[in-house]
Amino acid sequence: MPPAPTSFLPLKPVELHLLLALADGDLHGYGLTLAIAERSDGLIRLAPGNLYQVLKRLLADGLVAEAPRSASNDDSRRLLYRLTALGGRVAAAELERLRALTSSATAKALQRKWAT
Amino acid sequence: MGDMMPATISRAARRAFAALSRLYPTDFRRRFGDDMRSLFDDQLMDAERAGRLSVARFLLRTFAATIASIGTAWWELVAPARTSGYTLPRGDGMTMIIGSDIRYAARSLRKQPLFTLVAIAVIAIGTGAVTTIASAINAMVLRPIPGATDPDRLIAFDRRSADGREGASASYHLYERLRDRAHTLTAVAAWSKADMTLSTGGAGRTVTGNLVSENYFAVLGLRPAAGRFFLREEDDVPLAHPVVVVSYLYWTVNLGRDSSAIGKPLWVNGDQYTLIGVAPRDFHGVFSPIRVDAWAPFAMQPHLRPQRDLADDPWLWLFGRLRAGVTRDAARTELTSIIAEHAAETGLARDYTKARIWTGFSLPEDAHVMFLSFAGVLFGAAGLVLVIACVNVASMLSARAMARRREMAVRAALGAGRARLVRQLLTESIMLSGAGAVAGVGVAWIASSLLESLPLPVDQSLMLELTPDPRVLAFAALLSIVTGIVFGLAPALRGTSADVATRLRQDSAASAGGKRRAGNALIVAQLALALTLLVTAGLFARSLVAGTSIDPGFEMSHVATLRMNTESWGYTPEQGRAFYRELRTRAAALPGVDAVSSTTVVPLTAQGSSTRIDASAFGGSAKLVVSMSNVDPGYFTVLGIPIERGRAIDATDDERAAPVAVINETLERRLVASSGGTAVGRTFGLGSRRVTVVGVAHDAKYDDLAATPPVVFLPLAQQWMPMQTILVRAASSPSALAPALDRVVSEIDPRAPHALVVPMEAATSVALLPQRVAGGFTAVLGAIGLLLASVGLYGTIAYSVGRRTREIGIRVALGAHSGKVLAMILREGMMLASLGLVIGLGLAAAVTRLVSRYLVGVSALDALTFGSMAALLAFVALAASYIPARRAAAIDPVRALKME
Repeated sequence: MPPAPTSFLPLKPVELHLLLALADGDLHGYGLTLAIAERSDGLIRLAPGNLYQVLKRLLADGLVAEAPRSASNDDSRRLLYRLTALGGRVAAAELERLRALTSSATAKALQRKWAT
Repeated sequence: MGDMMPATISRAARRAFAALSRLYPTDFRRRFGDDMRSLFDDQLMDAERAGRLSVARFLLRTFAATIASIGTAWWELVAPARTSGYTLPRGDGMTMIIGSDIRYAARSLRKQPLFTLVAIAVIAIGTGAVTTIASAINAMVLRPIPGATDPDRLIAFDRRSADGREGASASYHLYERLRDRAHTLTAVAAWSKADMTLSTGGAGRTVTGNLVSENYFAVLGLRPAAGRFFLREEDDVPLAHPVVVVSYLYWTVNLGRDSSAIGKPLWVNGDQYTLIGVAPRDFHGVFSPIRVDAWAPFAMQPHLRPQRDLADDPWLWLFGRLRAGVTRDAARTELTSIIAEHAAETGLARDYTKARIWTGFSLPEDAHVMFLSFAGVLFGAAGLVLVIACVNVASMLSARAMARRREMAVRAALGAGRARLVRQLLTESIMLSGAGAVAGVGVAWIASSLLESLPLPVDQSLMLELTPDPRVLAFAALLSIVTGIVFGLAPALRGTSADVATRLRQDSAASAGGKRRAGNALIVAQLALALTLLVTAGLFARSLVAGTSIDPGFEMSHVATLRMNTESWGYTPEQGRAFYRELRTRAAALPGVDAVSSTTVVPLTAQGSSTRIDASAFGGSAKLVVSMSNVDPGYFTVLGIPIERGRAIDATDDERAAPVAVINETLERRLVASSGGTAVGRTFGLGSRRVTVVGVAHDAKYDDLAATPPVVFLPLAQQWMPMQTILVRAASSPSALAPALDRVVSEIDPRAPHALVVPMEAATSVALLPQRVAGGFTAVLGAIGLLLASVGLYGTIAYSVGRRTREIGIRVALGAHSGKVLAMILREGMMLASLGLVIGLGLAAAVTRLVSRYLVGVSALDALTFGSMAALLAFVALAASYIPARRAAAIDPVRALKME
């Protein structure tokens, strides 16, 4: 039986960003860093070692898999990464968790009071 | 051209990144290395497009992040943060695993109690040695002033000559100027020494006291343990408020910690004072290792230090508190300008125009540089023992890991990852080193209390608080974790390498084969380090012998010394002169006394002082810096120093006669270098006086055993000094005279403090104190190092014999006789020993040069020491390998072959 997606929560922000980036399609390392930087408004810029450490963890957990090499891969030297079904479910569960969090009455009250 | 530069830079950056990425754990590197490098290339190109500044920012960030991520990658290998969702429960899973690691480690260490105990003892000795020296350094230079508020902002300062070499204390006028004008400091306080004899009525006790500005305690931020500190008005009118503060120690020992003693009279140097307060516990003055037990305000100076004044006499030491946000440099600049302005306006001490600052130390800067370099030698020696201990334990752990390869293989086969196994072994070694460090702090505690009780042959009470404090304990804790990881990691990685299948197949003997070279290297390293320690210890021992046999140029074996300060019990100069005259007369009349004299400087006790004389009458250089002693008639007779030319100082050289001096041969040689002849009958300038040389004394040692400096001997009768040492030449033992001398002192004045009589041989032994301490310390450490190294060698050879039992059995079965087997095993041991010997001698030659300034009468490359210590090491190594070799020679081939 595969593990329940909720058993992986909460995800680290960088993990969620990475899964989201892969949701749009397979990417290699460089593409991932660009997509993550863009989505986080430049907040998260990954150095090579850091990116691959996160990838290693997600690969080991089965949330991400290496994509088979294909013609669409513009640079055949590089490995492409792909979101697994489990990864998709985990990301969805994390988003749902965040949605529940942001839509709580307290969170809304806080935003009204402090948001700039 | 513009593109050339970035191209070179980016090539270098790529190469650097490739090199750096090699530091990732193997698995990680194999899987992601190439990808990481191409990602780096892409990111670098992006940055280059954005400009040079971005490249710099990118490189800085990426390299920092990479180094950090290498660390995490290794850490995750040892302690995986999360593997997969379902093999480990999330949440407290990690704590559970660590908990089970610790339980398992404890169990497996308990199973081998001998190994565990020996390992802990070895680590305890190593960390204990290092911690002892660390606490001494901590006590002497690092420990902040006890009880002081915000000690980091306290600075001490004095004035220096323009070249920074000569220093001078401050006058009261300079103190006032600095106090009123320095804006970089929130406050400036001043202090100086004053011997005080305290009494509640009966016979007094002389302690080291301080005269201080009224704000002294306030600037330090101290709170009284009882009573109060000085008020501003108590430092206003001279002699109007005789008040005194005593140390917590004095209050406890002499006043029974009685709060009702506060506000009561306390006699200080014969006059009635009021005890107003008690300093906080452990506080004994600032910026000086000498223990202070009483404080009085400067307004009492006319009574306590009548020779000094509160005007332009330079006798004060200063400290202050830095204003928040002000740097030391800013303070130095401001203080320098005030000092220079003072010199220019007053025309006094014009040579001293710079400020020198030091912080938070219990020793003045000069002294702590000296102390630190000496402590560095001892720290190095202790460090060597720690390294030997670590290497020793590493080889023990290594052997143990090899022996447990099958256990590890079984656990691996049952599903334990390598990371898990490595972590298990690391847990064991950190537990060992932790236990060792705890025991090591115990060792340091004992060693420190031995050091503290070391009788110092000086008449000042030093404050040496050696008990390990939190700083030292933190140091020991850090040391244990670092050593645990450093000497545990390699054996753990090695013990868990190779894959499960091969390991399960191999038998224990064969598997250990190729790994022996590393073990041998560890033994060679231990032997080499032990030899280094032994040679150092030998050189110090030889220095001691040579030092004691150096002819000081005077005869001290039957001389008793008695140091007194008549000012300390309130005598005027006239009363002081009369007291010393009476004391000399009565002492000379005692049975068993041959001769009596007195001096301000007892040679070889570091009491020396120097002055400048004007030698222009001799031609050559006008100003000459010379050492100075003030002596009474009979000085040269008591110490047996021959007068080469002219006459000695005699009773006619009193305050009414013309100023005269006796000089030593070294000074005469220097004076007459250009004119020739003798100096007798000629004059030199000393301050405003012309002094006639009446005699030349044979050279004798002055402050230390190094070369004799030029010395001027001036008659005490022509220059009053309240602090003198009476020298008494006895017919027999000088210490037997102590009770009689003490009686004489109290007969002359019952209020005078008890006399402390020290045989001159004991007093001068301070000259060889560094050699004595270093010699004793390195000898103990060298012996420990030798013991550890030889046990290590024994273990290695014994292990090798055990491993080769079958091979040896076959050799014997094929006709090798036992002598040949013995020789074979001995050769193995001696190979290692001679390698260690060669490396050790080289290492020792390099190291002993560092300690050469502490060697007396022996070269840093003394062949005898090197040779004898090498022989000692070779002999011990031979003995260590002889025992297992004997066992090998006695192997019974039939039983050995049956073992399979």
